[in-house]
Amino acid sequence: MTMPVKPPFRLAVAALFLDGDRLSPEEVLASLAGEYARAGFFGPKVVALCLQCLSVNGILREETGRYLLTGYGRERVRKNLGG
Amino acid sequence: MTAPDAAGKTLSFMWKGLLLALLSGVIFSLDGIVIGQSTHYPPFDRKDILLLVALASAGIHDICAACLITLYNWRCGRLRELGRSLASRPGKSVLIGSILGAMLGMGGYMTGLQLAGPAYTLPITTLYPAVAAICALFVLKENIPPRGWIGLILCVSGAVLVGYVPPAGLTGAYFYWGIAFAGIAALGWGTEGVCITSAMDFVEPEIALNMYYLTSVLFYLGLAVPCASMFLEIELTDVSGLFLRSGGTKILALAGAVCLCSYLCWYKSMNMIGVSRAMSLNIGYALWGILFSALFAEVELTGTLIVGSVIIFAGMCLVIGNPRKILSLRRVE
Repeated sequence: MTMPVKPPFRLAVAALFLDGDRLSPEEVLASLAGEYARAGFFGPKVVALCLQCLSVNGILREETGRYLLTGYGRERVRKNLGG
Repeated sequence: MTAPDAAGKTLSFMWKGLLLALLSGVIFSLDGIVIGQSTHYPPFDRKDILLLVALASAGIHDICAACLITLYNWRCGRLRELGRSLASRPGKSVLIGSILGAMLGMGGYMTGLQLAGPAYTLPITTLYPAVAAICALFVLKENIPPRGWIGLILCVSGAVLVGYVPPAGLTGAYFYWGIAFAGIAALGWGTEGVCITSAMDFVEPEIALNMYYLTSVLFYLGLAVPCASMFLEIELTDVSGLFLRSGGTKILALAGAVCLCSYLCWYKSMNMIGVSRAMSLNIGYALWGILFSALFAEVELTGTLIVGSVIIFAGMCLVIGNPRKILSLRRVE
């Protein structure tokens, strides 16, 4: 999916899971390092907090230290990437 | 990570969210006390241009907060995130929420105060957490247990009781319009919370707050203050110097900084524990306001204030409940 500008960081984190992958916080950090590493806020703490927020709000589900997208989360992420 | 580790992490996350919501109410009550000090300075003490004074005060307050949050996001390396968010769909939801809060919420509140007076406007507008909880139930599918509903009703009832001002007896020709505007304000603030919380799933709370304050400043300076000056038939150029040179402006700027801290805690808590819990605990500002006024301003504690405070406290205890049971905020897969 192509977007004229990069999505907001949290949306980019959630969009990583659209392929159905189960990712650990370290893998999320490594996947986004190329695009967001220059942003001053980017780091393990922010990624961990972001995953926790996405998880309690039902976008992601945590299973043994790895996260995956829920059905509700998939619907919301697709809808929000669309515009 | 084992299951008990994950549960422990979620529990500490929930406690942090609950504490932030409580803290947002404590700081917000201080904001009201600081704002009150500005009314001792001219032209903030003028009753003949009350509408303009109220809107200009809110504008100065929010300009300071907008500058500080922009500076904060710049220092944290988040300023580009602001641009990215503005161009995205969740960013547009934040803008819609901010417009609802600024125009319907604050606009309705100010108009309600003018047309129906504080006796009716304050209790009606205090209903906004209930409006937000009902909207969150349907829009966000928020999980609100029966104990949470009872707690919310107690918090709102206590806040209505604490904010109650005996009616003056006179109800002008536009009284019912005033009541309607107060209702619109409650609707505006309630829907603002839901819109922004929905967007904060994908936009950082600090960025959402930055967008809110920038929208609010545009609303006050671009629409509300010029409209009020036209309505009151006052040239803005005649009074702007008075406002800028006043000591009250410095106090309002300080109040803006205090309010920013409160809103930052509130936005983060809405994202962490949900709209209904965060708003119920935030409205506890009515309780903390009484406590601080009694301690520092020698305000007399009447029976109504004490009963209202006890009701709010009981409601907050019920809303907090047992955080171990808050594992998911929404009724989704």
